[in-house]
Amino acid sequence: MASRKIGDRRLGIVGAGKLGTTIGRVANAAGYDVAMSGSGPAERIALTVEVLAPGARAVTTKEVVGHADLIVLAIPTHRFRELPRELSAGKSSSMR
Amino acid sequence: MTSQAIEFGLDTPVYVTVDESGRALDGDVVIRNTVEEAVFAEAVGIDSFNIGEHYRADFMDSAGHVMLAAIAARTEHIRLGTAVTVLSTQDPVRVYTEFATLDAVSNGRAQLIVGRGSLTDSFPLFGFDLAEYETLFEENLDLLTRLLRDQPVTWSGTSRSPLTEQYVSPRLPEGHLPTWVGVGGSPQSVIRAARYGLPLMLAIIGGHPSRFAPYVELYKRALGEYGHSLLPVGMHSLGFVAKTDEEAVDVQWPFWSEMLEMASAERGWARPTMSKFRDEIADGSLYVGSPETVATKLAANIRLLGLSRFDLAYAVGRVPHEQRMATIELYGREVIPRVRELLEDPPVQLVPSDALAAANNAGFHG
Repeated sequence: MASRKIGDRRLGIVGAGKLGTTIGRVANAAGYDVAMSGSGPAERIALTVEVLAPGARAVTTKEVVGHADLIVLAIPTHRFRELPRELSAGKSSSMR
Repeated sequence: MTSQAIEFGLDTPVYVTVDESGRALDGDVVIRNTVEEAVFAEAVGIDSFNIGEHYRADFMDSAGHVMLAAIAARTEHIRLGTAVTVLSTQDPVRVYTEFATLDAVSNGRAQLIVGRGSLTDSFPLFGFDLAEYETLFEENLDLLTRLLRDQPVTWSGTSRSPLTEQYVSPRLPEGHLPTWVGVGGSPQSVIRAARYGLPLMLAIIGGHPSRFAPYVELYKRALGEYGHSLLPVGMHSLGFVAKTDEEAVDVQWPFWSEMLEMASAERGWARPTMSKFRDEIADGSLYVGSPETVATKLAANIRLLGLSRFDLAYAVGRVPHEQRMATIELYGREVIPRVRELLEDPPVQLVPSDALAAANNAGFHG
C-alpha cells in the first residue's frame, strides 16, 4: 500500500448518490484526487461518476479504502452496518 | 416540432389555505376550492392539472385520484395527473386500477408522475420500513410498468404477493397513461428512469436550474446505454404570477417564508430571508413576478435544459383561493402564450411528443 502523509490530497467517497457525487465534484475542483464507490461493482456507477463528478474515479469500496486515509461515507444511515470492517481498520473515525 | 408541443401544467399539494382574514379554511372547503381551480385552469388554456400525495395536516392531497375524477367530470381537455404518486408505499395494482379508471372516466386524460416522495410520513402510516425505500420503489415501479405495458403479468418480488398470468381491469388503450419518473436529484433515480424507458420529471425547487444540466446529460447517456431513443424531460418548480413584480413578491413572500420557517424547524433547513427569496426569484428556481418576468425566465430555462414539459407548483403555501385563481388566470392567459412565442424564435428542438406513447408501449419482452 502506498505511504500516506498528512496533507495527502487524496479523498475516498463511499456512496455515489446525490451527496457523494456532489462532494466528489467539489473535491475534484479543489484539487483532490477522488476515488468513489457505490454498493456494487465499479461499472455500475461509472457513467454517474463520469457525468456528475468528472475527474473522479469509479472504483470498488475496497479500492476506496486503499486509496485514501480520508474517507467520506455518503450513504443512508441504515446502510452503515453493511460496510466492510476493513474500512475503518487503522483509521480514526469522526463518528462516536 | 414547435413550442406548441410543450406541455404546461399546474401542480399542487392542496395546501390548507387561509381566507382573506388569515383564518385557515376547513379541509373539505380546500378540496372543493382546488376542484374549482382545476376547472378554471382548463378554461384559461392550461394543459394539465396534477395533484401531489402527502399525509399531513397542512396538505389535503391524500387521495388525489378522487379529486381528479371530480375534475374529470367537469372538464373536457385538460390532462389529469399526479405530482407525485409516492409509489414506494402504494400497491402498484391499486395505482393501476385507480388511474386506468380515471383514464376511462376522463376519456383518456390520465397521467402519472411516480416518485419516492420527499417526505417519509407514508411509511409508518401504511406499515412500511423506511430502510426498504429503495427496494420498495424499484419493485413497485417494475410491477407498475409491467401492468401498463404487458398484461397478463407474471411477477414476483419481496414487496407484495406474486402474480401469475394476471390481467387487471380496466384495460388501457394503446399508449395510454403516460407515466413519468419524478426525480429530486438522486442519480440512481435518473438512471432508473432511463432503464425503464420512462420520461423524466425534475423537481427543481432551489438554486439555478443549470445545476440540473448534468442530470439531463446523465439521463440521455443512460437512455442510450439501455438502447432507448430520446425521451422527454420535464421540470417542476414553484412560483406565483401577479400583475406586477412587486405585487407577486408582496403576496407570495409571507406564505413562502411561513412554509420555510416550518421546514427549518422540522427538517433543519436554513431559515428563509427576504434576500434569499429575491435571489431565488432573480437567479434561482422561483418563478415569482409579472407574466413577462416569469415567461422570460421560463423560456430561458426551457431552452437551457431542453424541456418538453413544465409544471408550475402555483402559489406556494397558504395563499388564499382568490389569489390562486388570479395566478392561474395569468399563467394560462399570459405566461404560457408568451413562453411559446419566446420559444419560436429561434425554434427549440423538442423530443417528439409521440415518444411518450412509444415509451408507454415499449415492450418489456426484451
